[in-house]
Amino acid sequence: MTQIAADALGLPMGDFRIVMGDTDRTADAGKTSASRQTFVSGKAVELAGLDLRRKLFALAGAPKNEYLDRRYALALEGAALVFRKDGITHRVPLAALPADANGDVLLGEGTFDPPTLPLDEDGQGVPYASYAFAAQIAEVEVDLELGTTRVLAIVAAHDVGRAINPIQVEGQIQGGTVQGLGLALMEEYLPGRTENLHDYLIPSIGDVPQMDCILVEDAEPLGPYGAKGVGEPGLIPTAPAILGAIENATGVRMQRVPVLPHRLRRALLDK
Amino acid sequence: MNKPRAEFAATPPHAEPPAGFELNGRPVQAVSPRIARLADVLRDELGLTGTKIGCNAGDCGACTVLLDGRQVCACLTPLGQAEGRSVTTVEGLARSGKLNALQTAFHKHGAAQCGICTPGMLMAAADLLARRKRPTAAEVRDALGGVLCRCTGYQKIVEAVLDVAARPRLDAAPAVGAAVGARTTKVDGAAKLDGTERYGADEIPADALWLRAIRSPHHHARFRLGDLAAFVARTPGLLRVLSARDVPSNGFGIYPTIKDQPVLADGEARFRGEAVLALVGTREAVEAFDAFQTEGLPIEYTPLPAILGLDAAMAPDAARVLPDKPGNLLQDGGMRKGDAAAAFAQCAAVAEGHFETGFVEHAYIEPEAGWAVRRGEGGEARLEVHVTTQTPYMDRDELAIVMKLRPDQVRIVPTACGGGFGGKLDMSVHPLIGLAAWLTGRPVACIYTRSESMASTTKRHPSRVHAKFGCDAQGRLIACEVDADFDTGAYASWGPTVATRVPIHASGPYKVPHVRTRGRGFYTHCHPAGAFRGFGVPQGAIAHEAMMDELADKLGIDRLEFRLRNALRAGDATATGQVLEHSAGLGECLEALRPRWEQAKRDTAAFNRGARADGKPLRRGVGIGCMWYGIGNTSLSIPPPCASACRHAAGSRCTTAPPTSARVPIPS
Repeated sequence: MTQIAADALGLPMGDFRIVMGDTDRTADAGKTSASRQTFVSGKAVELAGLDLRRKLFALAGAPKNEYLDRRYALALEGAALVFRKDGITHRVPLAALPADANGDVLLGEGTFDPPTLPLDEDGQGVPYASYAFAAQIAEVEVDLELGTTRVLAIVAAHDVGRAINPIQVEGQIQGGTVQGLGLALMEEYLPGRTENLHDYLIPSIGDVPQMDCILVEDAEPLGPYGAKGVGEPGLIPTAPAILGAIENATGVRMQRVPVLPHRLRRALLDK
Repeated sequence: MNKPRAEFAATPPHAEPPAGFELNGRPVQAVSPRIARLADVLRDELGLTGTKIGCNAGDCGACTVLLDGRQVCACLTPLGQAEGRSVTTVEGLARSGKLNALQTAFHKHGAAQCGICTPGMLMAAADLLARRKRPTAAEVRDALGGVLCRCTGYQKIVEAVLDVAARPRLDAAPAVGAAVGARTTKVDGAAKLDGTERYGADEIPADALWLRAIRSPHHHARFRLGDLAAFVARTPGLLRVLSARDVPSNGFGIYPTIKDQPVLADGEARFRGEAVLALVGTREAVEAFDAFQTEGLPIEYTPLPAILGLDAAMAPDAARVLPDKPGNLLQDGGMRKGDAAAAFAQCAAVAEGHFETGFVEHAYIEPEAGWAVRRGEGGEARLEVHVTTQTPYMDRDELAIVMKLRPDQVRIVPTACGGGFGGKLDMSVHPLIGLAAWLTGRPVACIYTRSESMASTTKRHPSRVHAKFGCDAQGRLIACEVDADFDTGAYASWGPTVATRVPIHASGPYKVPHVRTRGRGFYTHCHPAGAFRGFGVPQGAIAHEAMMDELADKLGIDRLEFRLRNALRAGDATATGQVLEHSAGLGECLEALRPRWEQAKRDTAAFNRGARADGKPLRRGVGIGCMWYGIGNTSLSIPPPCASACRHAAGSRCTTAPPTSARVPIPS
């Protein structure tokens, strides 16, 4: 969010301070789910940053659309905001402005509601404004005698629209991929029987293969700087890729996950 | 600082002299009994909450600290073992107030996401690096093998530890106008590395009362309550016992029209782990009871037959889990485009399969935790809840409904969230501590135990998916039919969202002219199944990708190539008839993978030739999976049968995507 706000307004990231979510202090941005925060809140942040830039330029007496001129360099100098372009300098003294109840002198605001259309009786319509796409390949090694499966490598190619921060995008993809590995090979919750982390096994550091991420940036014009979402997509193609790889290795298509060793062994014997 | 736990109070401090040890280089004395868990002593007596507790059983490693330089689980180490020795916690790493080389490497590589496992990871790595300046990746994995992380997938953690020897430095902040796209460090990252981040269990007021829920040990049972007042009177330290009759409006749920889950069950428990009573009192008093305890409590269960699994729920003569849900059906919805049944006749190849998945637990390393307090009196009174959550505003509105307050009378202050993945979208401790704080006028805190967290909170929906796909001789998809059934547990939670998202996505990220899909959710006597990273789409993807492999194989087309021929692209229509105008990059993803795919095929084939020749039982294989996923809330989460409810709820938070506002203020 700070990266988006910084570029929209035109100041360095270090000039921003984040107010953490709090229903008394921050607006309703919905929930952190459905891979929506970068796309939805991110767009609102971009619009808020632009709105603040527009207001600052207006205060400096700049012509109407001058704020869109990215050749201006902005800087916070003490309690003043300074614009410079081609030897022209505008200065907005912020300290002289009246503060509101929160101590803010100027507020940029943005709102974004992704355009969708309700589905009709046949489920036809526009349920989402944008879609993430991805493909992953998995390489596995199966022990035919033990029924065990080891994932050797994952290559994950994800169309994220735009990677606002590639480190964090990769982190989401890798983390999701490992949850997908758990879904495929390890995790099955049995009420009353696996109510702790030694009977319910999630992937540990030794279960994880080398993961290579390829970020495809097919920009989404609706999103902030072209970004979509990446929270959930990392997980979704992993189990299918692993199951396909097991079939490729053994000739057995497993129809039930997790592919625990006893299940794969049984399927190999029944082949 | 949190209040000392039961063990401390059980033994008077003067019974044994304080235990002395060195903590982060300074001598300390701890008055807790020597049998107390070191993790509790560090957090509750000595106030160092950087050490996290994820399971109290030595499974997760979040509480890893150094004892004389070697990593131990502080939850399994009695205080007595630390006596006369040195203990190092995450607070001891950045001694000069600056992140040390290891912490800097974590920051630079993005090795901390939610940050709840980070202190444990850092301590395990510190142990290794003190002995091996330049460890191998295998040594790093061995040394960190006892600490679980649910966010990162571990790779960036390993990369960070390997980078420490190179004395990593943080890159300069991106230039103005170049922040978007920059590999810059998380703006809230440093607090996750030095132990100062505050999660749900980390800032509980010292004067708080504590709450422990008593939960049904049966999948399904009727129960009768005894004399609660007498129970309170005879139990030292217990102030109050809450039951269903204390809850102003005893139903909550994600959907505006489905408030089917009680805060405290009212005479009938519908899943193992459902809360039936809430004990409120001193920490030692309430934690003396196990969540699943039956003896010594004023409650009498009569176990009843339980409906477990989809077969039992769907049986023609099945009893009802909820009285107003005939056939145990939560929802039945789907999509129809073209005429799939007729189109199969034109197909050159048809694939068909049946797939099953089970419950999956989110397993965030931070258990549910928080505290609540009532502020003000009379009509001005407000309820303030500090809690680990993914959705503060929904929590506010849900709590207002349960407590019969106006939404503006409730304030949610989210703590740092130690992992959620959808599991912290539903309320957990919130209504319990909210109710108790409101009624007692005192701050009330609750931290779920690991088993309580796992037994009582939502899971990924178990699924049964039947899929049939057909294509022409060139491998172009013509028709698909998918029927998906989901076990939603005892209450709706996000079940309707899952049963809607799946039919929308069930044809996969492909152009298919004839589509018929259906999604149904059924109630059973299990914990609710709710939101979990993907809302059912991962279960559906297992089916459609198996179909792609089978069709490709039947036609002798390479599996990647088959997907490429069918990939949705800009200009194509989806299963809901939506024409994608932009940003449909599956084709580009597949093209980017192609060299690795061809290489992997060659590598596995060569390996398998060798293995066969050598008589080894090992076989390698390579597989490919594709996905698509609608970003944001579904425009219509409730299907046509509930259309009136949808219209009624139009504009509500749940059925339409909320507009999102952001303010960028400049402080004066």
